[in-house]
Amino acid sequence: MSKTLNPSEEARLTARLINPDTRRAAFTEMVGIYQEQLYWQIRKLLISHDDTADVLQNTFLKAWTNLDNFRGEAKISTWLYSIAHNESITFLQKRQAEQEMTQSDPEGFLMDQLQADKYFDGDETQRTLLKAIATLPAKQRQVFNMRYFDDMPYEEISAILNTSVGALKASYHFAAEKVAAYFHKNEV
Amino acid sequence: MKQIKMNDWNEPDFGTYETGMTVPEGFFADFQKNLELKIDELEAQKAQRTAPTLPLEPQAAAGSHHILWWSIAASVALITGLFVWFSPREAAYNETLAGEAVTAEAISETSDLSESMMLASVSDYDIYEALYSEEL
Repeated sequence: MSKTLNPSEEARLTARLINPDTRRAAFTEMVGIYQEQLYWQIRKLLISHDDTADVLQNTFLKAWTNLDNFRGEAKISTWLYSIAHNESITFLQKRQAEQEMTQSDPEGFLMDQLQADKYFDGDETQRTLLKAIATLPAKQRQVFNMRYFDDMPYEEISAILNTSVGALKASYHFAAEKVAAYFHKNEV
Repeated sequence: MKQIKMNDWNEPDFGTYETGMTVPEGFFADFQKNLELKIDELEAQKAQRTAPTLPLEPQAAAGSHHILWWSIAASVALITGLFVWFSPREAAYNETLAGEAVTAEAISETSDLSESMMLASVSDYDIYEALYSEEL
């Protein structure tokens, strides 16, 4: 499903992205490599396929228009995940504002998305797990998704979310406790 | 009831549950195609914005000089005509206004104030929009 680049492949692609003559072809290659990973990262946060497709497109368009600022100091995946994360959070905030949701009921909108999503064929346990994750605050949800589903190292999450490793570990711990409590409460 | 086991790092070990989410057939290929089109669009817009202005042809430049000189001559003639037309009436006009000098001054001050307030409230974008609204 997802392809990871080894250091020499990463360096080669980075150099081609920075060079204006090879930028376009390199970008196409980059989209091919990362679109699926980013899609799932965003999808787990937004639940709806249609919303995810929109945010994924915005992510890549933003990456393209900001390519001049990319110097290759961070990994390509870290850079893309950061943009995707920011775009997802902005999308959620906009959607919440549109629906005039209160802070006390942040999961309501995502729960609705989960019920209405036609691209879900999981079993009851999977649905409960997603519902439990939907009850978490956005950042905890992101940390939990990256750690639990993608098994991403804390160091990489730290670079993407610009948060210390210690804070991320605490965040994951609280998130996991809440998810476990949700499972117990709903007697799965 | 399914128990949540804890792993060695005291993190919940839920097993290997996937999300259960699916994606439409052929989505990623279509997505990449659409994205390429969007980028082409962006680049075309960018090229349009940064396109250099072509210098005028020599003949067109000569023609534009003629138009310029004729415009200046016409303006001078018009101003001279207006000056001649209005100067005999200036004294009478001033007399009429003499009794209303205070009012006129007040009106003038108000007018200046409201004009400066109006200009202060106009942003560059408003000016841009006003100028190019027909093109938008």
